[in-house]
Amino acid sequence: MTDEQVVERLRARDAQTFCALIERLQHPLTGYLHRLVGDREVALDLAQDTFLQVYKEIGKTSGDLSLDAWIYRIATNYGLRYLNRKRLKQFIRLESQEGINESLATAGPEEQAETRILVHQALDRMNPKDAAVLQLHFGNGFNYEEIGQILKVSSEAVRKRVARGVDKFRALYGQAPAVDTPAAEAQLIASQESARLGAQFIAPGEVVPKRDGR
Amino acid sequence: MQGGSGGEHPENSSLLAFLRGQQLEDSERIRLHLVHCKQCQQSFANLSHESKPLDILSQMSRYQRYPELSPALILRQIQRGAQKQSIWSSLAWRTVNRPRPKKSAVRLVSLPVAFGVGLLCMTVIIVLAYTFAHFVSVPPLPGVLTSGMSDNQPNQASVAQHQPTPSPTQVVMATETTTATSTVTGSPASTGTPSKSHHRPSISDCSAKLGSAQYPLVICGSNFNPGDTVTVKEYVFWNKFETNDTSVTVDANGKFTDYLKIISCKIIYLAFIAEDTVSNPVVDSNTLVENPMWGCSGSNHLYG
Repeated sequence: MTDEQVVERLRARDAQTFCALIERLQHPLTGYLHRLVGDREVALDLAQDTFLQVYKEIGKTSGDLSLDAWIYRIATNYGLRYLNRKRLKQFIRLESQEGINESLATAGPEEQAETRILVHQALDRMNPKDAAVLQLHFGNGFNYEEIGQILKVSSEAVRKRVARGVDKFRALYGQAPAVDTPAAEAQLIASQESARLGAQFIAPGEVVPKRDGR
Repeated sequence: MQGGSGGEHPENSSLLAFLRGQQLEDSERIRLHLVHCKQCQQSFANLSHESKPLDILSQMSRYQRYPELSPALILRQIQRGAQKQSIWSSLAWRTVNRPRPKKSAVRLVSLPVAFGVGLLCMTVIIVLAYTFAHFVSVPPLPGVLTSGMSDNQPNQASVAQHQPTPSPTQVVMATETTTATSTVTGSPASTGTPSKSHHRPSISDCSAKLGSAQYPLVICGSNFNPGDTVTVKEYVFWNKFETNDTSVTVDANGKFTDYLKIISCKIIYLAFIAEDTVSNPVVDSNTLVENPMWGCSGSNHLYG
């Protein structure tokens, strides 16, 4: 079934098509939101809100809709809105940022736990829009054109934004991790412990030849 | 910028896009340029190194597991108009109920804040108490004349009130026509309570307490302006009706004591009144009227 057919059926309020859409997109979409906002429960709520919005707004879209890009655009907007409010709350309350969500640290091989924490910490300190671009490209595998459709920008703009994001990421990834909460510190210690057990890491500051062995 | 092979060096963003396998108009040119340009090879290697940690994001997506979203539930929420159960309401609930470790900043700030709040509360209490004390009328002390009291009413309490220790510092002799010798006492060291300016000046008979054989009749004044000169008028009858004036000085407590010597038992004292002539307008005290018991043989009580 093509995108156009799916959109037509969704506009006709076909519940079966809607269920199929949820089954197809819920995991990658929730995973994207999880990595973007750093909170599993929030990501689930946002994903649900995204599908609600899709069902409600599908009738207002035009015929040549790129469905997945449109859904990811909704999800991205929800995620960025959540992050902005969260950061505003943290600024008002003068709170330190919360620790890394434990589910992110465990989403993968144990020996890469520290890398996952460091990557997420770096992305968490970046501009949310830049982080979203990197998440879409590196995490979900969207190419520049698809990201352009999601963010409603040109492929050239995406190319420059990805390059800028990688540049910022490199600067932040090379810095000392911001272990400012007991939870994050405990996770980092656990990760380092697992590293001593023989795991291989992508440590910040390593040169390329040394890392080719993985 | 010209490369060693003659072509322009591609931008880093183009090199990164080439590295990531993105479709580029000049992909072939970049590929050929990289073969010959060592500088761009180094940039390419750096970009590869810098972006490599991000590849872990795609691996994470393979390991992330989430509970299945129920399409039926979502549809039901849509039908119910589930906007009320939005992310923000559920987040608010979770924020309230989530156990959080106490932040060090909060711990740091809590003590000064608590001290400040306590100080503020104490200040408010003091201000309220002060305001309350000023707006609630205090009942008059016994023996203090109030402005509403009649001059001719007996003032035994006032008599009992003014009992300063006589320590004569000034003696004012009466003129020849005066029938009594006055001894005026200013007693700065008086232990009496300082008079309030808003109380009316009064005089009373202190003879019972301060009187002596030489000065059996003693008039005490109170509530006068400290330092003023007061004229004590004596209304007497000695063959004819006469008025004798005696000047006394009010002490720092607003009091004076007028000691009178009775030079003849034929003199009948009718009344006494004190006038503060320095004040403008002149302030009169109450009037002490004749006591039938007063005389050379009796106790010289006067009614004030």
